[in-house]
Amino acid sequence: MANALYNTYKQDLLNKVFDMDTDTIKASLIDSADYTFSAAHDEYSGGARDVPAVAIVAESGALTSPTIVNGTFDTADFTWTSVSGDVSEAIILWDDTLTNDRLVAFYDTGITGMPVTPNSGNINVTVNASGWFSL
Amino acid sequence: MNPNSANQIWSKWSFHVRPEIRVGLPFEDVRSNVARFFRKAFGSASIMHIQQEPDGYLIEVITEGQPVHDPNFQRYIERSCAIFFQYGFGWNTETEMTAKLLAGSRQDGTPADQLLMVPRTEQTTAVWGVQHGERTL
Repeated sequence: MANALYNTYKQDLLNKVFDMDTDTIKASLIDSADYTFSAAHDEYSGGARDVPAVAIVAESGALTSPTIVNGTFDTADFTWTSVSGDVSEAIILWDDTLTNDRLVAFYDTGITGMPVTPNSGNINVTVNASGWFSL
Repeated sequence: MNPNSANQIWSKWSFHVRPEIRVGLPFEDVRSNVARFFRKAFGSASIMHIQQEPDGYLIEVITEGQPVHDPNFQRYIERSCAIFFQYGFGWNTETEMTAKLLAGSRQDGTPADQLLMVPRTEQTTAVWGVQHGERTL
């Protein structure tokens, strides 16, 4: 699987549903043994959730300093604190403001340091200097 | 490269530089001089990013092997960088430094920190229809 934006995110970006620099955007550490990406997935939580709770190894707080410049979405680096659980291979970016926490992007390729084995310590994440993604 | 293998220490050093001299300094010259300095200070196993801000420059260096948990080493780096920037930008140049452990032991008995570096995903080809799919940089 390559890194990708969810199709439902693209759809609702065009429909003015997402507001990436004012909504609360969070990132989760994912165990790929318990979650398989599908571009058609749309909900991170709720009754019809697409990401099983068992697949979520860690959740960040709200990502700080979200910016949109020339079609590029960026945030500050962040930390998952005191992480324990399964070996993890992916990161999901999601919107905590919208009902049922809508999925934004899935990353499992080209992440330096992956797969990561949680050791109860912190996992620091550096976002690319050129942002999370560009449209 | 796996930054989470045993005995590696990765750290991030950020410098907010407010120059006294703000005119006549091409950004490319500043970038290359700063890169040369940090290559000598931290060695080649480093990633540097510099961006121009309204009041100066923000420089971030991610590097391996530096004893970031040692306050004396932090003071040494801070002092060396302040002098370097004063030579380049004038004696009233202000430099603020922060240093953070990204991966490795904190040397205090707690579990080691681990590091993930996320790439950027670009949608350009999908948008323009040249090729369906995403390109990872």
